[in-house]
Amino acid sequence: MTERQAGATPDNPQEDQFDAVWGNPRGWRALTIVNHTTIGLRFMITGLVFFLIGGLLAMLIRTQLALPGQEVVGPDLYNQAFTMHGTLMMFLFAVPMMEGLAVYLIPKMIGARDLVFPRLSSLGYWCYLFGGIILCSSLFLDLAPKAGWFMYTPLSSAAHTPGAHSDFWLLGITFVEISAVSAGVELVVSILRSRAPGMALNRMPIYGWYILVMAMMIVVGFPPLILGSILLELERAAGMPFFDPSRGGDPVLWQHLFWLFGHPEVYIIFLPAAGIVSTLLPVFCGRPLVGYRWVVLGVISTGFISFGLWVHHMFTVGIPQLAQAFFSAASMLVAIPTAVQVFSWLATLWLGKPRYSLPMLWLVGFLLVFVCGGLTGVMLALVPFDWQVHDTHFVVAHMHYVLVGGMFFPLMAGLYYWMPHFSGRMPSERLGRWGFWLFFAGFNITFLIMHWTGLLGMPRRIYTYETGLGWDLPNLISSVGSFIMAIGVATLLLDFVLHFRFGRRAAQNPWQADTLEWATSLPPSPYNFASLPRIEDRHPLWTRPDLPQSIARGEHSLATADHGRRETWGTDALTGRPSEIIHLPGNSLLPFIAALCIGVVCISLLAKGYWIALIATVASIGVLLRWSWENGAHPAAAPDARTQPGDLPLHSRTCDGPGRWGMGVTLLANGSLYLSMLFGWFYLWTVAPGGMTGEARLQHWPLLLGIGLLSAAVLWLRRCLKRLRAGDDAQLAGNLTAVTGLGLAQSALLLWALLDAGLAPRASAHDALLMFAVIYLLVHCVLGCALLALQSWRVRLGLVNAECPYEPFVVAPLWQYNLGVLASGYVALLLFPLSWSAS
Amino acid sequence: MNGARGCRRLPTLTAAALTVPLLGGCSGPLSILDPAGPMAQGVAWLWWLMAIFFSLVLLAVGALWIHALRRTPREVTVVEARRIEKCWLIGGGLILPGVSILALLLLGTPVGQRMLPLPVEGEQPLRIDITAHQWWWEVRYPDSGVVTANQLHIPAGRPVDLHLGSADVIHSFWVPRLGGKLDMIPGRTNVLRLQADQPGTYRGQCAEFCGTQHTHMQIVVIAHAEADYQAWVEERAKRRVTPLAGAAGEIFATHCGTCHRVAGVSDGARAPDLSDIGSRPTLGAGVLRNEPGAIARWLHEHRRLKQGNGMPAHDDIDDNQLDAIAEWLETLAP
Amino acid sequence: MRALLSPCHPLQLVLGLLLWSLWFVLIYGGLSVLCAFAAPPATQGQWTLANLLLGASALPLFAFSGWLALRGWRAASNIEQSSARRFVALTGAGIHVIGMLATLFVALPLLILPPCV
Repeated sequence: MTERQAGATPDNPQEDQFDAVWGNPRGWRALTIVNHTTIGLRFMITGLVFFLIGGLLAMLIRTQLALPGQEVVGPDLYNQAFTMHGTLMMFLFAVPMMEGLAVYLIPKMIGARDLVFPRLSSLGYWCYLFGGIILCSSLFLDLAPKAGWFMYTPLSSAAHTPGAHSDFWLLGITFVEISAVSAGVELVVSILRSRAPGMALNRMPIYGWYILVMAMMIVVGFPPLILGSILLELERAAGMPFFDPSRGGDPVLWQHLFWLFGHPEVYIIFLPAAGIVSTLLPVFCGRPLVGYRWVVLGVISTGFISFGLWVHHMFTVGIPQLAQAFFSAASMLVAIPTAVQVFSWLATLWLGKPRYSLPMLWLVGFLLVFVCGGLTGVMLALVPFDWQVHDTHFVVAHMHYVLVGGMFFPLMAGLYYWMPHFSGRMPSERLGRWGFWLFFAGFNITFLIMHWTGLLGMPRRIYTYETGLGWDLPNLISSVGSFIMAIGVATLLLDFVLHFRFGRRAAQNPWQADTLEWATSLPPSPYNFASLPRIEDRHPLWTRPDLPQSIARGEHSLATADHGRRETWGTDALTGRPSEIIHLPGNSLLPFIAALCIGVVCISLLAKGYWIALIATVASIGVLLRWSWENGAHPAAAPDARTQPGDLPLHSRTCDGPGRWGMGVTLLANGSLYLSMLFGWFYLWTVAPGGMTGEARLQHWPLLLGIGLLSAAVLWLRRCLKRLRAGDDAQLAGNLTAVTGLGLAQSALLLWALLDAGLAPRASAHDALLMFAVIYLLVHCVLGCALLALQSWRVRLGLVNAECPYEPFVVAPLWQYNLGVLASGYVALLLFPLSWSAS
Repeated sequence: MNGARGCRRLPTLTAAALTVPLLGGCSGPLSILDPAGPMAQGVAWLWWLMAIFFSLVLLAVGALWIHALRRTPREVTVVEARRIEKCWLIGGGLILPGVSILALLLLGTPVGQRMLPLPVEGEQPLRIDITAHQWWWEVRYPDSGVVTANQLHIPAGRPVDLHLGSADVIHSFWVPRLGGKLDMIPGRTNVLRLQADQPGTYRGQCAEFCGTQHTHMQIVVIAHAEADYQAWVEERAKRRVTPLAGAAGEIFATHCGTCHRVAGVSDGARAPDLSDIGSRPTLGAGVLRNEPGAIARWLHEHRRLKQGNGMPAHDDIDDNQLDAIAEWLETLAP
Repeated sequence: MRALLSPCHPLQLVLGLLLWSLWFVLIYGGLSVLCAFAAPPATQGQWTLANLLLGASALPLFAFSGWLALRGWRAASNIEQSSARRFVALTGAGIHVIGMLATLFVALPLLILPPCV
């Protein structure tokens, strides 16, 4: 690696160049911004708005429950209020907020200039915003979802909740989840592939580990819910009986799919918050985090074990007790990695010299509240105890202790800590303390006593209660506490707003932190760093306090922008050795248009305008393909592709760049959806009470022939790419076209098999799921063909060749994936039922 | 150390918040901590054990944390620091939670096992079938053919097996003072074993959110001494009601009887059996106390009293006839 | 492919618990299938063939994870490796040990509970 030494000083044209390349436009063109700093802030501000709406709903709930027999709202409105409160807080506040913070911080912490897929960040934000608006609009139409935030069917089904209530939830949340998954994919790839030179995995800031695990969990954990939502929406809109026991379905399948997502979700929210704690404490103690490796171990194990707990939300369903005990044991097990983190923080405090400040106050609050929630969590993991308190206010108290304690308190600590970063000003001390104490007191008054209310037998989700059950006083106390908490939130908001006006100007690195995000200017420029330093250890700003200055002076690598490219380093996932220069796309309106189109799909499905939905779907696919067109050697992706002699190549001139990793991680998400679908299939065959009826009437030979064709296609593609890698692009276009042809023939066979089978998807869950699975396979095969056909076109246009071989390597994994799902799908859908009926 | 001052307020706050409910005591018609049967008793014990142990853990961790914040640390060498780190991580991070959860699992799982409907030797548990509807409970005694609704009569002192099912959405059967809850899921039958040690009245409540009137889906369990229970079953099994005479009787047959059953009068199956409506503690599964005149009020105002319930409005029936029907229904008490 | 299986490959950071997850799915699914087909009578208590089979499935996983952990630990003590690779090897070994303990703990209820009630 050669470091381009450019003797830049703050007042030389270097900075103007960077501003020209990276600058954010104003006015309506702000819609085109893709920069992670802006997108991260947008996520957080939007999240805050949804938090306030959710909070207002909570106030409504507490007002209704303050006294016995109240009639502030009727049951219908009350049910909408608690459903929307849970939904908003979980899906539109907690996850996006944490993702927004990560989107803002991660590139800065790992010494990169932006995330690796900036347009995807932008798409994610717009999907989140539009989905959130659609969901919230239901409140004003009196059509809000009202079956509880976990939407148990049959209550949420068309028969028991007529009207668009549940549709708003299913479609709106799926829309929002596009945003969650895309941010997840992007964070994983950015953390793995764009760290600063020399930042090996063991030198990564601990927050990076937390976010890496969280993002992975999103990638694997959200698809089951996306699948569940699609199936339930199909049941509601098209009458496909996936969850109807009278037609071979099972309502408990929904619960499995929901909690298969729902429990990891809790840790998706908690881990980034714990990451904030692990980042802040060492700074305020002035010493490194105790047990870095232990914490990494804890975080990874939490990520895995949290996928083995989902049934603990279903202990009262009537599953055999031994099966429950497995999940009970796994639920208790998760206490250990959490305890490791708690004691690592304690040891850091013990060995360090704690400085007292506002963020620290929130951390103390976090520990007390969260540990309490964690301990009641262990209690709930015990099956017989759960049988009593499940679905009572004890659980309501527990989850608020865990979520508010485990997410909101660290979030506030983090927001105060990074406030100088957002605004360039320091937070206040006095008003902030008032906000903390009001919130802390209000929270504990509200929820501590609620454990007791639950033990006295008050179920959750009842809209009123009679006097004489012993619930009057505790409920009144809770309601009073909740209003104190609301005043606390208002104080915090006031403090935030005032600080932008009156806050003291922040000095460079105001908290004497160790991580790279404090090496940017305050507030940061869109490119974060004028030059990218080499990282030698875990605490760059402690060992080299002059880094901010030397970075600004352009004394490190990639210090020029006269080529007009947005650049950052592509590095090796393990060692952090630079392997290529990633050139990032600039501002673009395409993500906004794509999100708009998907929004139209969502709204027209809600209004049951299926033709408009179809047109909008085609339009959004068109926009996305146009987006993919402006990649690689396309002039819009890199106006000037020349590099200095001796420099590393641009990623689009290699065979392995972030896009390929992005494809891999996306396929992981896709695979999770596919496996959830197979889980549903096997579940309905084995466990569902009705048992599967009907035989697979799909013919074997078209599928077998299709597997043969697709195998040939994959092998052929592999050979093409091998030659391309070796620099031989002769007849590339023809070969790619031929491979596409094989794929199309296979898709045609699959389509024929589907039409020939004469399935009756409204009559049985078996046929419905079979049809869904085959359509899934079909869509993927056609998508593979479309993308490869575009590649062969690009070869003809000279956009892909031996010089720029990158993109076919991005598409290839999709074909391998398609072969994998087709073959395993054949075994599961056609062979398995044969053996099952035989036995 | 401005914040540390705040920390001192914590214990006071916590103590205040804790003592208030304790003054109220643990009893209550739906209290888990006021057990009246062996299943609930086991869980109550578990609760107290866990509450005490985990409160100690919480206090210890909180105190350690606050102490660590306030102490002035002495200088330690790198080697010493490493040793201290290991102590914290292994002692607090592994051993403490490891031993706790191991103990909890070994202690708690057998408690759960004793609540299972395992086969018993000797006298078999009494079987009762309960089907949940939006928003009421249908109770059937398969041995004697007795049918009732929103109340459950059981013998005290011996186990009963409740076979739980649902006719529409998912509900959950829960009588906190007798034992844990179990979901009632369409397409499945779950078996819950309960036992009341003493004769008495216990309250139950649907515990899985089931729609608009989830709140008003309550059940009353009446445990009798064995002889009283037998008497009740016999009385109910042979009970045949004399139909109401006149126009009101006609109206009952055409309007009410198509959905409601009254033994010997009508045979409807969509709505609660009314053969013993006069003796039930509540109306509308917990909406009204069943006092004199309550049935009439229910018939006139049920759309308002229990929004969303399945019974059609009675606007087309003359008020006097409605009152006559109500008066007659009040007499239906075995 | 060889690089992928090296004890210093980042794959080791997930492999231990990935195996555990697969085993977890296996015993949960296996139990469901066993109970659907050949449910032993509840009177038999916990000492049934089903419990034995499921319990026995923990042993190979335990042994294999143990071997992987040992391998990682050895690789981590090799000072010729770069610090990043040693970090991964040792952390991976830790994950394998966690996998072993998790396997034992989750298998524990097999000693206490009858399979299909």
